Amino acid sequence: MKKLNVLLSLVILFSLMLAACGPKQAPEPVEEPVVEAPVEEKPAEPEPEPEVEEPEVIEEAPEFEGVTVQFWHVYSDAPGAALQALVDEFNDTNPYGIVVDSLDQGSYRDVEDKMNAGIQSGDLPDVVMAYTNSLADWYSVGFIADLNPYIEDAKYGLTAEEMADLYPHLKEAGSMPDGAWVAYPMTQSANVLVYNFTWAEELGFDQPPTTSAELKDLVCAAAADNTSIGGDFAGTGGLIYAPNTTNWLHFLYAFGGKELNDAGDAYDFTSQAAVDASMYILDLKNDGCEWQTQDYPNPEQGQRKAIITMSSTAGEPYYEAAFEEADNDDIWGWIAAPGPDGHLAVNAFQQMLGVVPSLPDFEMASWLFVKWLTSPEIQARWVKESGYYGTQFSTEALLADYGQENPVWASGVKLAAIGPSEPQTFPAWSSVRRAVGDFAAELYNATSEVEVREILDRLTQTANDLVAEISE
Amino acid sequence: MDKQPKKTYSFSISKRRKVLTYLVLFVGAFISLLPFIWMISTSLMTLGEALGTAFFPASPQFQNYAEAWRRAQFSKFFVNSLMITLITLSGEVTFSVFAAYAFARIEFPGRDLIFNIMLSTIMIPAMVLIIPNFLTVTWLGRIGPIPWINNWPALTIPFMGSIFSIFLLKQFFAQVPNELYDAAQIDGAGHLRFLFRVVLPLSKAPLMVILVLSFIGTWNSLAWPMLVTNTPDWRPISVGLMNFVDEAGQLIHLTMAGAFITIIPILIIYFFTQRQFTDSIARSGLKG
Repeated sequence: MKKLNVLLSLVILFSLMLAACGPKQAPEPVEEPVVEAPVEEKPAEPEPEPEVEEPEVIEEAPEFEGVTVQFWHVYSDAPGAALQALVDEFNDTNPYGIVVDSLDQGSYRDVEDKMNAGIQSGDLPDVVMAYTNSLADWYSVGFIADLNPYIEDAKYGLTAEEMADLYPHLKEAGSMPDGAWVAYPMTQSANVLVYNFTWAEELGFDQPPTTSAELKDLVCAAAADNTSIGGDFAGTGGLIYAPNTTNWLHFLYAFGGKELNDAGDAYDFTSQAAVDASMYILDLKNDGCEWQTQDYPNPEQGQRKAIITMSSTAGEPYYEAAFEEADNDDIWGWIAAPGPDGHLAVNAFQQMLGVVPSLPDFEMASWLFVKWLTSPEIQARWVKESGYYGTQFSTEALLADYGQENPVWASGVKLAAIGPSEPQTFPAWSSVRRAVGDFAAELYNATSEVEVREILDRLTQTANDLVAEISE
Repeated sequence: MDKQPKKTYSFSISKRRKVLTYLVLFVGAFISLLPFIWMISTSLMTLGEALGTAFFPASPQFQNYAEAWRRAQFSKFFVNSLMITLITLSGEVTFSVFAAYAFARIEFPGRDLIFNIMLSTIMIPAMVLIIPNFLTVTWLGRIGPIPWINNWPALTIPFMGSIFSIFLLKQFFAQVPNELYDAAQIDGAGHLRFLFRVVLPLSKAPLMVILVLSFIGTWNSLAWPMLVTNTPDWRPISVGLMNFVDEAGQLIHLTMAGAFITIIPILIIYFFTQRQFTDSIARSGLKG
C-alpha cells in the first residue's frame, strides 16, 4: 500500500510538473496583453483595435485627460527622488492632462522578472526602463511597441531637427533588425578607459594616446616606471584588463570591428579587426604592460599601480574614493580606446525606455511622457542628478557649467556621442554576450595568432548556433 | 610498577586528543566567524578602504550605520519586515501544527497518499513556482475582497503552508506515545485538547526550529517581495540593501552596515531560542 501511495504521488507530481513545463501559448501580437493592463485609472478594457500602430489612429489622437501612465524604473535613493520630482513636474505642467505614476521596481533584473511575470498575468506598466535586449525580447513576443509611428507623428513626434540632434548611433542601438524602434534612450553611460593624466604627463605623454601604438607605449612606460620602484609595485603600472565581454568588445570597436557580418544578418567574430584586437591585448600581456587584479572597480589606479583601467562611467564615485583613500591628487578622467588608425571607440550603454502596447491613447500618452523626459532641458537636469550622459548634442550645450564643476564627468561627454553600442536587439544577444565573455577569457590565454583565429571561429559558430537554437 | 608508565601514556593521549579537539573547534569557529568579523569591519570603513585590501578601518566610521539606515529607508522597511514575518509565522505555525497533527495521529482515507504528494512537492525548485504563485495571487486579488498584489496577503499567505514544517512536526507528533492519548481520552479530552495540553508542550524544540528557520527565510526574502510589490509600502528590509548596488559597483561599506542591521533581529531570535534549536537539531538529525 505504501509503495502504491509513493508511486501515485510521483505520477501526480510529474504530471503537475509536465503541465507546468508545457509550451506556453504564444501571446497574440501587440494588442492582446494590454487588455488586462492593471492601471486602475484605465477605463474598462475593450478589445484593442488590431490597427493600433496605424498612422491615422495616431493622427486622430484623442484628448489625454484622465490617462494615467504607469512608469517602471530602477532608481531609488537620491536619483529616485530626483526622477520623482521630474515626474511630478510633468504631471503638474503637461498640457495634455496626462498623469504619470512612477514606480521604482528595483534593479534591471527585478524589472525583467516583473515584466516576465506581468506578461503572464497582464499586470504591465505603460512605460518601462530596461536593458535593450530585454525590450527587444518583449517586442518579439508582442509586449513592447514600435515607437516609429509616434516618433514620426506629425503632431506629437520629433521634428527633423530633433532627430538630427540625437547621437547618430542611438537609433540603431534601439532598433530591431526589422526596423522597429523599440528602445528609446533616456541617458547613456559607457565603458571607457580610466586615464591618469598627471602620471602620463610625468612619463612624457602630454596628450592621451591617439593610436593603439601610442597606448602601448604609454602603458609599457608606466609598467617600466613601477618595475623600477620594485616591491609591491613590481609587475604593476600598465593597463588593468579584465578579459570579459564589455572590455573585449571595447577594443574590438576601437580596432574597427563589430559583432555582425557585413550584411548584418549573422554573427561574425572572424574579422581581421577581431584578430588584431585580440593579438594587441596578448602583446600587452606578453610585454608585461598589462596585468590583472580581482578587484573592481580598481582601487589600484588611485595607488598608481595602473595608469589605465577599464570601467563604466557610472563608476566615477568608486574611483574618486580610491584616489581619496590613496591620498592621491592626480588628475584623472575618461578616454576612449584608440585603434591602430586613430579610430576612437567606447562601449556605450543606454538606459532605455520602452512603451508597452496598449490602447492608442495610452501609447501616445506614454510617448509624450518619454519625449518630455528625454527633451534636452529635462535630460540636462536629470544628468546633473544621475551622473549619466545625455543622448543629444543640444543637451551637451546645456551642461557646460556642470562640466566645469565636474571635470571627470566632462571628460566623458564627447565619448558618449561616439559609441558604438552592442547589438542588443540582434537575436540571442544576451546568450551570445555570455559566450563572448567565455571566449574573451580564452583569447586572453591564447599563445598564437593561429589559436586566436581558431577561438574566434568557434565563437562565431557558437553565436550562430545560439541564434539557430532560439529560432527553432 | 609497570602500570605507571602506561597510565601516564593513556593520560597523555587523552590530553592530546582534548587539545586537538579544541584546536579543531577553534579553527572551525574562527573560520565561521571570519565573514562576520569582515562584515563588521567593512561596515566601519570608508568606501576607499572597503574597495581596497584593508581588513580593519584606520578610523571607524560609525556614521555609516546612520547613513545606511537613512539611505535604505530602513525605518520603513524594518517595520514592514516585522509585520510580514509575524503574519507569516503566525499562519505557518498554526497551519503546520494542525496539519501535522492530522497526518500524525488521525486516521482518514488517503492520508498517506496526500502526505506523500505534499512531501514530494519539496523537490520542486522554488524558482519554478514563482510564476504560478504570482498568477495565483494575482487571480486571488482580482476575485477577493482585498488586493493581494502590493499588500500583505501576497507576501505572507503563500508561505503559510510549509511542507517542511508539517513534515518536521509530524515526525515529532508521531513519537508521542499512544498511552498518553488513551489517558487523555479517559480524562475526557478530545484531539484538540490533547494537542494543546500534551503534544505541543512536548514539542517545543521542533516548534522553535520552525520559528527560527521561517523567521530567517521570511526576513531575508527578496525576489518574491520585489515581484509582488510595486511601491515601498510593503517592501521588506532586504530591498533596502539593494539601494547600495548600482550598475557600476556596490557601496560595500554601506551594504555591510545595512547587512549588520538586518541580521540583528535574527541574532536576537537565535539567542533566545538557541537551546531549543540545538536540542531539536540534535534530536532530529537535521543539518544546516
